[in-house]
Amino acid sequence: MKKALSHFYRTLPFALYFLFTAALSGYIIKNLADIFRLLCPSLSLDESTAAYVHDILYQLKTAAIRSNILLWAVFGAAFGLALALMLKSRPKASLIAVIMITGFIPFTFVALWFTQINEIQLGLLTKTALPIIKNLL
Amino acid sequence: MKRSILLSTSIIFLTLILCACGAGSPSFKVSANGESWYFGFGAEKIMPNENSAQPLYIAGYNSALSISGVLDHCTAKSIYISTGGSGILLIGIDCIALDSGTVKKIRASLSDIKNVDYINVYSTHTHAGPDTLGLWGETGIDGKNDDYMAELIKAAEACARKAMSNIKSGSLFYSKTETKGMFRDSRDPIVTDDNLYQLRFCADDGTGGARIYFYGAHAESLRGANSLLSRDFPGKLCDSMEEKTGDMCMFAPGAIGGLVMTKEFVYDTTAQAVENLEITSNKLIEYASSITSDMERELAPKLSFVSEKFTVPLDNPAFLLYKTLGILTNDAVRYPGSATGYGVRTELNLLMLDDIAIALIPGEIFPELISGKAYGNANPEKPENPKPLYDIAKEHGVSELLIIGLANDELGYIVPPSDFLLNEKLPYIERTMDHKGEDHYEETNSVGPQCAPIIAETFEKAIKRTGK
Repeated sequence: MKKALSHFYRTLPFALYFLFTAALSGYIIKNLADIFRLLCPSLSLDESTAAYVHDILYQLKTAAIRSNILLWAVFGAAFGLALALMLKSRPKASLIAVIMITGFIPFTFVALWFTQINEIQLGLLTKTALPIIKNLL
Repeated sequence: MKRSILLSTSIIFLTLILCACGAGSPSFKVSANGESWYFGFGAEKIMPNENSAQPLYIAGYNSALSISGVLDHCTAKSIYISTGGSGILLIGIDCIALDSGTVKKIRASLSDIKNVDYINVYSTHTHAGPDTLGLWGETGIDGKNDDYMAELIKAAEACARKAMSNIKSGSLFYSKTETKGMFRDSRDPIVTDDNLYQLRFCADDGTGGARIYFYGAHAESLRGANSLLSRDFPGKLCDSMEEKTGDMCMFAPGAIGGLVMTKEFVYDTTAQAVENLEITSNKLIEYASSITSDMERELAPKLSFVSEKFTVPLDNPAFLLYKTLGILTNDAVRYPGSATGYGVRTELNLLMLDDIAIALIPGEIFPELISGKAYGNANPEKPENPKPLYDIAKEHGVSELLIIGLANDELGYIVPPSDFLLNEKLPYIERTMDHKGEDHYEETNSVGPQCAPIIAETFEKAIKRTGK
């Protein structure tokens, strides 16, 4: 029982962390129009183009977003457990913090890749769209 | 003890599997023979909300072209057909097209209705109606007007309820007449179905009956510069025939892909768009009026209906993007073999009235895929075309095959594989020309080259299931 609890404590922070990145990816997609508006000044787009892109992204506000929360939690727990087994001890809080901070952007990107917007996985859409964008440019 | 646990677990598993198979059943079938035909008919205008905060774009040609006035309002019409037991509802809506997301909403609004085995919803494909698919707004932005869509669903529901509240017994007659010099087929080979088909329900009590006209041409006699709301020629044809006969009339588009429209009867279709509509309609009214009782054949009250669900690979990235943005609301499912990794889950339905088959196809099918008369050969890979639907129907003893296109979903154009040609640099985004200088526009509005064979295969499956 004690051992099981110990495993649970090892994996819990990562499970929660991955759940957070999954939830964040959904939030990012829903609010992409607002994020774009914030980034607009640094993108040096003219006003009408910026407004047009904003309108396209604004449609995602009402999109049906689905992240596989359970899968993310399991993945996070497995990550935490693997780390603990690798270190042969419960990772220190400082190490957990470093992993979480440095991994934040890549983990969120991975979460975004697997997020479904109106039934379509963003990663597959990106994979389909990239060659077209390349040919358009 | 262990054995009994194993046995009970196996039984539970088996039951669960069987339940799952039943729940996900890919098809639906109903069959009924009776003493008489029964039908009901309803119609309801779809009125745009003048105070809507969103623009009302006209669909079919240009992006973001607002409707500037009204020639005639679109309608939703419904006919209920049965042989005494529960029956089938056909709802025809004057609009460019509806995808399965909207069809589901219409069906949901009628979920409480009794004595209906299946609800079919199709579009007349008017190119002078509001954008009901979302593709004619600014590029990448939903062109649908939410208020109009709500009105459309309400009208569809209302007309279906009217049809169900006014059921009469009667006879059913089938006829057709050949139309001449009516078509413009803008893509080689020139293949059209020249017939105007009529199904006429005649009430036993001598009161007004109902008619359905089937014709294989895009409803776009007003052409692309028009910004007036109209049902185009299907509206004029139905209005006039209703006035002449006292029967209620609805229109169904046939095999219109490829791209078949009625031809220009005026010198300048921009300046004389309304005149072109009048001439086109009058010619069709003349043909419809020329059908006499001696040209009609009475159909025995035998009805069967099959709905086949199927998945078609989605290769068109533009459709995928529009689906992601929530503009298109077709059902998407994972399909690893397709170019996008997705497929569209849709349905093909078959309604048999005696020996007449009506195929309800979820898109704009090229007429050559029905008749097999001639095919283009622009595809350098030279793939085989599927067996024409007409041949499949004949093999199963069907005397006439009628098509209702744009039914229950919109997959875009259904192009013969042998003529499927994509732009090399920007497939599905930019159109291309073949070696003969033929424009391959339709491919940009299609799900992909595998659609036609899957449609033919599903049609064959459906016809076999009717027991023919």
